[in-house]
Amino acid sequence: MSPGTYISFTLHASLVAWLLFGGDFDKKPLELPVTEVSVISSEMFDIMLNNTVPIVDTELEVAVAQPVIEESQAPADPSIDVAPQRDTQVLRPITSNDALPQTVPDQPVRMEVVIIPPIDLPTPEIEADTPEPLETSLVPKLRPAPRIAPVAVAPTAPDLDIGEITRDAASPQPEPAEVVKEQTAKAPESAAPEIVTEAEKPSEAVEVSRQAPPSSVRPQRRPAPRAPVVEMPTEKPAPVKPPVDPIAVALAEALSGQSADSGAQKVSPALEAAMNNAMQECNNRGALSSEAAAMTIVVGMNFTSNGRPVASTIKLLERKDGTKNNAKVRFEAYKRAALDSQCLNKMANVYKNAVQNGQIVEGQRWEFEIVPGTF
Amino acid sequence: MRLIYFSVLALGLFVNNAWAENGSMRVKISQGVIEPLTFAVPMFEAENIEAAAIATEISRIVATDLISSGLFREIPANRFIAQRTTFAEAVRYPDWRAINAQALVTASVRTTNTGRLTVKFRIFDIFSGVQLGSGIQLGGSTQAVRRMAHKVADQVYERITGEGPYFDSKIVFVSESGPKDKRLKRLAIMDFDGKNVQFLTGNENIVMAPRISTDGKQVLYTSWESGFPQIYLLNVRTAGRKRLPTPDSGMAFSPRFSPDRKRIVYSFEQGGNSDIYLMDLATARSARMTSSPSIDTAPSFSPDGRQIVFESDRSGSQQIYTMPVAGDAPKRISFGNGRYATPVWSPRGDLIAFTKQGNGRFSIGVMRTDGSEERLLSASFLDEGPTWSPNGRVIMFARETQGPKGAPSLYSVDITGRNLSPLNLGSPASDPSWGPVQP
Amino acid sequence: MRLIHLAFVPFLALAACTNPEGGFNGGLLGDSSSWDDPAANAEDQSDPTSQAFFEKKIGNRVLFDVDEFILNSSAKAGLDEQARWLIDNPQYVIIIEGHADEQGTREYNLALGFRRAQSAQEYLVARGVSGLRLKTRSYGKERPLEICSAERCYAKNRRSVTLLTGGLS
Repeated sequence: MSPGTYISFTLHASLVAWLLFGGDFDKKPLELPVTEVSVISSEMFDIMLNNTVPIVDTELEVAVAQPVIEESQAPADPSIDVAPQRDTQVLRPITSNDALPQTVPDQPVRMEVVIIPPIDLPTPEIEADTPEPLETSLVPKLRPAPRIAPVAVAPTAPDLDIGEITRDAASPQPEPAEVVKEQTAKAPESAAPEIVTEAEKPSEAVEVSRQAPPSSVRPQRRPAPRAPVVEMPTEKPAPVKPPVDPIAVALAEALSGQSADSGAQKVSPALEAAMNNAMQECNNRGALSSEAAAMTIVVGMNFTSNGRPVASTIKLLERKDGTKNNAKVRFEAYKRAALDSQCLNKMANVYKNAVQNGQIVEGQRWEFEIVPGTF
Repeated sequence: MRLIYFSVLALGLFVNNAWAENGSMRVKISQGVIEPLTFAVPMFEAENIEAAAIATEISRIVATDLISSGLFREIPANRFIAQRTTFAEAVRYPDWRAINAQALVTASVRTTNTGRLTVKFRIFDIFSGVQLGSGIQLGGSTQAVRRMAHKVADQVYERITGEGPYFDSKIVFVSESGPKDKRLKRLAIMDFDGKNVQFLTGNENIVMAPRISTDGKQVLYTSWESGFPQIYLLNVRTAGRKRLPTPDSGMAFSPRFSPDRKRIVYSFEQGGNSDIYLMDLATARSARMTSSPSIDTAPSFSPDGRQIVFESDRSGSQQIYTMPVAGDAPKRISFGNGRYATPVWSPRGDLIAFTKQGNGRFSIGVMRTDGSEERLLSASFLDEGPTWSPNGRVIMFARETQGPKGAPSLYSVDITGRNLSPLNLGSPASDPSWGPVQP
Repeated sequence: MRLIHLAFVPFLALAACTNPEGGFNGGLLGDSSSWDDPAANAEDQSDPTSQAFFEKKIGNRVLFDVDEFILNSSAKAGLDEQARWLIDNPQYVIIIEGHADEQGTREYNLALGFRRAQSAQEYLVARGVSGLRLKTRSYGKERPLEICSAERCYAKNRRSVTLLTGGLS
């Protein structure tokens, strides 16, 4: 046998001896200190998601930062043979020294939920602004423009019923813009004069564009293909006979023989198809979680007599086959669809035609059941 | 007068309420589209001069991440009407609406001379005209720029879609070089987007099919380091490795962690036969899970740790079986035309991804855990080895081209089958294993 | 645990001997058709006891049909020849290596290679080669001989290779 074989045998014998009488090999995975980073508590996450009133004292789980072990960039011990040895690989307990020089540095990122106040306008104080609570639910009133935004914010684009905005100047009463129930005399939530919707969702109550006085209308630099969609409610018919409308409408509907079932009356198939067609391009479930895209939700909203949805009345009513959070994102996606001017215009046409044809009656509350569909 | 008015109104509304139940009109909306959501990421504000380059970098990474998911589309800056310069300024919703940006992400970035980086950001729903959620601030080291950006992108993604995050994660894979009959392979780890590639082993020995643990700290893989296929455990941080002992030192391959990392499953070879074994890592003792003369391999734990899914040719061809870890007969769940292999249980627990082979083609597919609703997401000469993103929404796999110059590269695809796209690493890569979202 | 360590000793003894098939992608060096095996080339192929003779004259490879690990008739004939030579040359320890073509997933093909190696081993034992001299391993589809993506190459890759290693003398 060659000398190499003798040497090799000696080394092996020593190795075997070491194995028999030396240390045991570590079964446990190597434990190394890892830098802990904080995570958001579920309360913080809820705050993030639910637009709830910001809490000033946030409780952050501050992790105890551990020092990052800086692995040396080169093997520390020059005598360790980095190249694999054919004859000793089966059992050698491999230490970190003979690993490759490249290691994965730890780069901790700490997430803190710092509640940064929304830069949108805050909740207007409705009670102080409504001297005539009776009419609040029926007559849209101008809200005094709050002085919050450092930058003048543009109001609605001119092609969107500016006339209705200027009308606000004519009626000097402050208006809770959100509470557009006047044409839907039967809107149940607005039965009480207090404007519930504002208080519920302060941040969503902000309709920046609608609150600026008309005189500051800023000319659009471009033809606005997608103009702001939130509509001022039509006021003209309402003030004329507000006390009568609710009853008249209710009676009319009762007399027209609508069924008193769980509450929703289905529209005719033709009208349903037309509305589907109008909303189709905007009813986008492409940016949703798998579960949200597969859910069914019911969205309620009211329309103006021009067939435009009133943003503040768009609400999630029911959900099926999914969690609350997924229903929320699905609802938000549909709300975007409803407010997308491209579909909104089409829908308004469908609505107005249907009113003219007597297929639907103005002032009703609408429920849209958004199903996954086969698209 | 007012009183009368009020009374009449109240009465009317009371009556109204009685009829209110009948008043709603219901419409079923079943038609729609599946399109990416448009977003705009204006330049992030740099609170100090030194942060300017980082602010730009973070804004670009956020945009790239969102686009890469296939669920978002960016409105480019040259179409912006509003020019934002500060984080605090109000949002001109009509300006963003006019360019059809449905979501807006604004941020400001600050660095300190002690190497600390802070990013504050807000997300806005333009069509609804509201801020989504609260502003969030992230802090870390200036070395963590990319991670910070991925965290921002994850927040935007999660808030808008409802899907869990996945951008701030790493992927272990096999980096390949050399000709097809003398391929050199080594373990590597990278960010999910292919950046920051680092090698975990040399390329002196063949390595195969690494699997990263649920905490991202360890990797199991098969190596010929000893001259014979054996299973190894490697520490990601140090790249230190050790061989895991098998019964009678027999040959082993295809090791996978349990979700709690206390056990592994692997294939053990004995007399030409390969069976699934379960090893307790603390004691290194193994127990046999399958005993059949068939090839049983490529096992994968369910996320609750109670079951495994694996492939077996006990029926005459490779098929997929699930089996409780506690023991019971395996249940076959694949029944289509073709062979099924490399099953991987989704971290959401709802689906199993697999490689399907038939008619000379390979596909990556998914099926429910009972085998129903099988869908194929890809097809080519050779697609194999799927791995799940941590949110169970995206699958990455290896696609190898044919012929003497054929080489593998990594691709990802959305669970819906959309957005099949290559990961451009610049050199051949295979056997990906996607790690968790980093804390 | 220590007993298990002891079980490794025979392998160490094996590895201690000079032979080209250590841990260093050893299987490659045994495949004489695509690799220059320095040991084989250095030896005289006319020497009937040499490794070179075994590899080049007797032939150390047998092939398998697609998805098969059962030996076909020409494989058996080849193994018959191998068996005769191995019995005549008992100084060698043998590693039988199984391989598969690329038409399959990685781990399954590794297992298929094990089956092929096992088939060859069992046959050699049945022909009188001592089982104590035989070990198996697999390379799955990792080490093809031919690299085209067609059946004529695949057929050559579906093989078991009989490698000689120097035993302890």
